Amino acid sequence: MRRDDVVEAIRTVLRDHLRNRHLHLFGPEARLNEDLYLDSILMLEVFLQLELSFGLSVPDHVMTSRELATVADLAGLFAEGEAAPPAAPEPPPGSVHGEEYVDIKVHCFVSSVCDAVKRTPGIDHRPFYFGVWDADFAVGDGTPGREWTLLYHAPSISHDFFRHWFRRLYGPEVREWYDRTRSKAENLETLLDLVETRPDTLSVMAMVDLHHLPERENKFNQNPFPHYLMLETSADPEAFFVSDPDFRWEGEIAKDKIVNAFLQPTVAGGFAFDRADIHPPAAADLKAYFEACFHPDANPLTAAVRRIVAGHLAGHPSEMGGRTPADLVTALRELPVISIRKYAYEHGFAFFWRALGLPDETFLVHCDEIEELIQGFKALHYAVLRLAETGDTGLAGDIFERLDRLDELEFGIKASLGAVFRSWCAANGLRCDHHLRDAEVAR
Amino acid sequence: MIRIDDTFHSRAGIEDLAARFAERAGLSGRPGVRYAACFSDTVDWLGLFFAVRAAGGSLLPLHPSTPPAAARRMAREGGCRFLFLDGMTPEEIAPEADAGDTGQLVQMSSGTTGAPKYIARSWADIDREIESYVGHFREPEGMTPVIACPTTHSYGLICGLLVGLRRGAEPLVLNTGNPKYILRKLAETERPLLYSSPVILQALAKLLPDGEKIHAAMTSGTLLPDPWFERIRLKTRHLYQQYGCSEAGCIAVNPDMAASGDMGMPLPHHRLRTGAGPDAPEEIVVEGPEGDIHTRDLGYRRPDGMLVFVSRLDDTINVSGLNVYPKDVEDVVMALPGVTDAVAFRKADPFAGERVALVFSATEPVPHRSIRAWCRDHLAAHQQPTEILQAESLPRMANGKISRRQVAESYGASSDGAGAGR
Repeated sequence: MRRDDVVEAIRTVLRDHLRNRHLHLFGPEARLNEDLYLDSILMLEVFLQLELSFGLSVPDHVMTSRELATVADLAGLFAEGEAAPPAAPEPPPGSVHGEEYVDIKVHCFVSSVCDAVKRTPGIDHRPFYFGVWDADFAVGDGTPGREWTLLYHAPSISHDFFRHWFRRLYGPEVREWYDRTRSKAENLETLLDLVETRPDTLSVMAMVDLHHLPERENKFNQNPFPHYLMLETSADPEAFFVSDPDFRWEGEIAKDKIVNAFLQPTVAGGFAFDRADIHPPAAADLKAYFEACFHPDANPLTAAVRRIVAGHLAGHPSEMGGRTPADLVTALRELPVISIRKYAYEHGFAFFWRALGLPDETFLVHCDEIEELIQGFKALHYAVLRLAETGDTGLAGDIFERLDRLDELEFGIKASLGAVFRSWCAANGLRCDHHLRDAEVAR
Repeated sequence: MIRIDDTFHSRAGIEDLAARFAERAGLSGRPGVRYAACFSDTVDWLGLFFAVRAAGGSLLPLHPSTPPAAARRMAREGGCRFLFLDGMTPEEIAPEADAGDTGQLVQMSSGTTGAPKYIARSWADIDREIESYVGHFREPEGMTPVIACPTTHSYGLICGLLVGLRRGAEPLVLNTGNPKYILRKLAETERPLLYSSPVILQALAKLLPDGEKIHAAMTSGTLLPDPWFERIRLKTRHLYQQYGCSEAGCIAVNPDMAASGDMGMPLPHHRLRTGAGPDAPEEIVVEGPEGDIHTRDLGYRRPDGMLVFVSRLDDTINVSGLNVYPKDVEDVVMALPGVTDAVAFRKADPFAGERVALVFSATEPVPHRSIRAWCRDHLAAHQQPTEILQAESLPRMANGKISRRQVAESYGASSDGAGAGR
């Protein structure tokens, strides 16, 4: 049913079923409470009648009618296939439905490809972040002494998953131009040639060690710091025009500095893709991608940290490669870089909220939960550092409790996200594999 | 420990929250100090509840929809020294308010002339009620309470939440007006027992496909209209009803509802007096150690012991299970500039059972919009008048009293709302 039809259905329910006496004010902009005298009891009746008389199903994650202000808001819950937010006035600043909504930067490969999507009018990059909240990280990379180290970047981690899905969702093939069978010098030649002969719509990504670009802020103080930058020529033949979507930075940097950072032995990688191929993703592909990324019953990050902490406290030096609680400092050094990926949940909620025209208030509630999760990881990291530095293993109990709380919080966020995903599937006429029965079936 | 909507809160988490409240608000060492609380977020409210109860303080819970102005007024009228409004630091409302000897739960109940009075029950009294309820009403053992009604009200707080915790269950609290959401949560819950209001129950019954049933449901607060009762009965495997009042807590529980007026068997710690049969109903009176508690409800006992409710004796308006005291509404409207007189009265309503109607007089025409905007700022959602009429003057008797019944008869039949101010 189209939005106009839903509005008409609402009018019919108010007129025939509720015998509402304020219909002279009725219209998409009419306020449910102030103009039409609808309170929560009558809203319940409206939901009921829309479902029973018009077959319009209320999404089952909508928490309360109090957050719906106008008829258009209400209609927006039901209208199918219209991703636009309700025909309300311009969304307020900072609204999830607005366009100036602050972006999230938590994964440099994803930021780079999404930067190109964002430059294509009318295409939403947010769903691509489904893959980020639980994106791969590694524990150990085969280097002796690092078996118990949490790593956001390791040989075992490839971007193949993201490349595959980027192509399936948005169209462009993300080609790997970096050839690991060839030397650094040969790869540098390829890079310089690509940047020099680049068509306007081609994005060229190169992995550099950001630690060797001291003029660029390195907020995690990581060394090494593998990071993707996008390179173009600039007016100055001695400089590249560099864009770093992940850190919201662009500007000119001397070529020799970039080359130096690219040649570091700590890094190896590069991709290119053509913006001209971008198209909007199909609903069925979005659903498949969400399902591939969504693990409602596991939180890999908390599980890994729990294992690492327990291992360091277990007192089996032989098995642990002789590790002590003090070694937790290096073992969990990269936790902050990985835990900020949880901000991707915000893009997940934002995508569904925009698609279903849901109210800002409830979106903000989820943002608060996500913020609490991120801050919880920061506090956890700090607590681990304290244990490592004081050697006071009595602090371990508190750390495991924190991990349990973070698990609870994240499972709660996942439950809400799963619920709105199911509603979105229903609104798009997609069958859900995890279809829940609406009520207990009498046996 | 407790689930709220889609979030699980562990015992440690709630205790941690309660400890933070106790610390930030300096609750310890001040037993008997009376606090009012109005929180939009259920978990905050529960955190404070457990903190105040543990510290031996007293607490007046306010419905989440209460606007700040109304919350301050009710806190003052309820003898509270402090008010928590969505935060951990309370504001001082009445520095001179006396602290009691023991901690109490404070609630509003109807007084004479439609004015609310504040009823305080000690935590020990509430514990006795919980023990009696759990011991006498065994059917829900092994079920998970799903509370789709306010936890600021005895029914949801004591019989839903505290009883559930006492039985070792993990209660689920839902803050929603969306029946689909409630159905989904029921489907996700093992042997759910839904504590809710008739309005929600009938909506769920209508939405459930044929052949499907809710495992168990409890109704309370207002009489189920017969057609609603029939439908709900068909759609629930177990249907319970309970009856109570602010002063006495839960009075009777019906473990197998067969008719809408059947309130149940009195809990063993109560002694009741009431009418002897349908032809001679009398007020239901609870004989307590502190003296008689008058419920202002008319009823009788059947030979098998069943307590049957007949009707309400006073002017309290029951909006979907929540009581509204006319004087609360009248006082707010009278405070509006230009208004000279106001009467709130009961009006039958097909969706809420009863609604608040209002007749007022003023020195000049007052648009309904102003009245409603004013009420929205000063009254909770269930107290809002849904029908508003302006009259030249209101009929008062020789002693200055107004008969709400007479007003209701004169104005209650109106259905076009053609008051002044259009």
